Amino acid sequence: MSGPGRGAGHERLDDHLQRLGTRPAGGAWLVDVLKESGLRGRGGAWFPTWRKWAGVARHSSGHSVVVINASEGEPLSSKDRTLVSLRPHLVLDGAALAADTLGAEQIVLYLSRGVDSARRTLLRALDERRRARLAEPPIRIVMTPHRYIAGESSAVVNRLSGGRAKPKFSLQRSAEKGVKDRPTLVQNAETLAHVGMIGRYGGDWFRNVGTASSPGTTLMTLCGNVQRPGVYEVDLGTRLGSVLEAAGGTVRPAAGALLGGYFGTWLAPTLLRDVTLDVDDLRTAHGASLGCGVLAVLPHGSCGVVEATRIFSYLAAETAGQCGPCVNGLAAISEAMERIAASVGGPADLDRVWRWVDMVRGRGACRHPDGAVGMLASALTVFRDHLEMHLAGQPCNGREVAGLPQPPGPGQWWR
Amino acid sequence: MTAYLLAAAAGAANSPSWYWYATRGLGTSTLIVLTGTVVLGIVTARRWVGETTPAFVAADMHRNLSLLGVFLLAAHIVTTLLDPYAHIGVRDVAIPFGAAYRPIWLGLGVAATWVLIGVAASSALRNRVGPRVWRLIHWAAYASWPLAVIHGVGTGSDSQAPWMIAVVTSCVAAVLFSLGLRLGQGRLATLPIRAAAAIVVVTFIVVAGGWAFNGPYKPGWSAKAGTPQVEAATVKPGLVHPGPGGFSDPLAGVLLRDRAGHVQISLRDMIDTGLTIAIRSPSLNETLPVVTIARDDRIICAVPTTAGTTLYAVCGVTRLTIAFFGAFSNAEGERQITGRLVTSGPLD
Amino acid sequence: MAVNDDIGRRLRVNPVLCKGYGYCAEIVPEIVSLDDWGFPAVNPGLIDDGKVLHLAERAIATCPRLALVLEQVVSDHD
Repeated sequence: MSGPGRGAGHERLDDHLQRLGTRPAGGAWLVDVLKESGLRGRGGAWFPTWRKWAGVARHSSGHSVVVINASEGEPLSSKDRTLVSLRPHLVLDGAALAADTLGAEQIVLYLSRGVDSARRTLLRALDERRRARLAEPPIRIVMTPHRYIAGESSAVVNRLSGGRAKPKFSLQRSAEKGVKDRPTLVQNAETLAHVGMIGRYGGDWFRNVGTASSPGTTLMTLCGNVQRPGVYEVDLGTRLGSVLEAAGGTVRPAAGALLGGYFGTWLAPTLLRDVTLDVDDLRTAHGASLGCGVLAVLPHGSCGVVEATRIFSYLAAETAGQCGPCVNGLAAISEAMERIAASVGGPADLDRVWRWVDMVRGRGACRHPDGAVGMLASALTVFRDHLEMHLAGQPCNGREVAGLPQPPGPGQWWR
Repeated sequence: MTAYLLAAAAGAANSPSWYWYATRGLGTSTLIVLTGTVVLGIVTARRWVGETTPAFVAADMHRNLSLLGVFLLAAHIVTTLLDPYAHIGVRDVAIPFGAAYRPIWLGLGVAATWVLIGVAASSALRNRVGPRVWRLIHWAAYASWPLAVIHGVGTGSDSQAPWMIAVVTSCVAAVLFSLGLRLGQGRLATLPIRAAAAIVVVTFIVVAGGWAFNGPYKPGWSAKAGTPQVEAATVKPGLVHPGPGGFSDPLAGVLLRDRAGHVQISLRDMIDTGLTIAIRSPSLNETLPVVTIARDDRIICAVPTTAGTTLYAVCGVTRLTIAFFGAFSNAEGERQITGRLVTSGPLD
Repeated sequence: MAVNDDIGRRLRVNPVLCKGYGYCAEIVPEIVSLDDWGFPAVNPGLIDDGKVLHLAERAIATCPRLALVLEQVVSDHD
């Protein structure tokens, strides 16, 4: 995916075609190639892409919809907006390949507000493609509010069907009944960029780098306590230490890190060097996931409990407000955690927190409560010792130290 | 006896049939059951934590009671159709405000029935229509209850009876009370909503009470509501009032209004049935309406009369007053009307 | 589509529609219990008891929000 640097603006269509060649026409063959390649979704779930496509293809009869999810509601992540700003045509190629394969007659680019520069770039890129008369269905841009939950699959479908960007409960998956009841593929922008490459060079090429279970490269956003924060393309299977080195190492000694974004897992500082970026490895050895590729490093002196509570309170404020267990549960947990983080909470508060963590899992229309309590549970485990201090009422300096970037304020709109 | 048979032969029921009483009773029962359903519906919407009774019982009772209400309503409608007294036909039951009998008040009942049909249908087909549509239609059910109450008070022949007033007052009180309970609790218990609800309730009581006590609960409502005064011809045709004194007889007939607004009224004296009265609008070179009195198609007199809802005329040496009942619309067409003829002396 | 392998039915609650009336927990406590905030937690297993199935259907009909539904579970084929 490497090409011209940032300063050159977005890669023009001519340069893109010169560098990579024209894309082939998609079709059923591509599902097999994706299976060979082992590509997994880069939106956070790491679900095998070929299986997702097969699910849509099964129900498609020429009217399905391909959605490029570039909304990137995760505040710490900037890989998608960087990707669509610099390599729009690669992403759009991937979407066109999906449209060919799944019999889609429309492609939607789902973009969140507040990233206006990306929108302008994309409009120009779409213009270039139209003038070049590329053989693909019409592509339109739909804007969505910059909310955490607006990027959730059923929220995307809801918004594109004319409603608000809030998740919907359904017994049928969007692969079967999505936008306006048509079979819909909602795919992360980065995943489609990889598809754009795999479509040209094949599955074996993709497996040249990475591991057996996690082939290829991935985009990671490094932030917090690193010298050169930003978006990096990383070979999967690399050790985390190498990634940090590429970013110039940490500014201060690390006190731990959050891997995978706000729904991710906390890593103790001792793990930051040797943990390998492999999906299976992370899950079995550390109960962790790469998520949306964010690595947020804590500086020495910051407090994991305080940071986790801050993030959790943001997530509690960013629910869609639809489901009782999520709205009530996250609010209750947040209140108890605020007390604990301020060192005025006790063991009874912690007991309640654990009780409620189990109570809210799986009880919402989407996985928002699961993600939030998963992140919190990992913090309470990894920072167990420091937690004891809080419970004992010992004051903690963590609030004064600038740890991770502050979560944004609560959003207002749903369309 | 002969007179009675003549009356029966004339096609007019001279006394209410069994169906008429049945429909009144069924109507009242329907109102009571509907009130119960609404109260349970309001109360169910609150999260009621009962001590011994599980809360779902209220929801179940609401559904069962509504089913009973539907059956009572159906019986009420059927008995109304079968009854010959008020001449209410299928068309009047299906389309509101077109009946000869108390059109407005009957029409409200028809409207209430249509709302309830919508609610029943959406509930039976709830899996097809989906939760949102079902809930929207169900909210409309709130409208059916006031329509039913006003229909009952306006149409009901028993409205002025004390026991009926007690029933209606209890029903209204029950609904207002449960609404008060509902608004007093939960997320609706904000000051603006409570204030608005209080204003609405007080206004409703004042307006409804004012209307009730000036309308249905006053004597003469029956005629004002549009009850056709079809009194049977109980005497043989021929001269009925031979004496020197005047008389006061009910009249019944039709009013024809054409597109230009010209009116033609034809009435028959219901006691002295050979006597007919025709009134027409002034023609081009006239300024006043003209009334023509005839007996057995032989014209007695044709004289100008003052215009208005009560007409004054002089026929020979006899002064006449013709009064009309009911509201007059200005729409083109034919409608039934009733009236009363008062004379100062005989007409022949 | 693959062969329809119907392996059973289970009760599902639509958490977006549910407002926490709690009737379901009263009618079919065998598979529904209420959490700390009055919202139902439904056992995700298949219903194998005819009596429980009947009670579940009753709960579905009684819910004022139409938030309950019986899901036909099929085994997942690729």
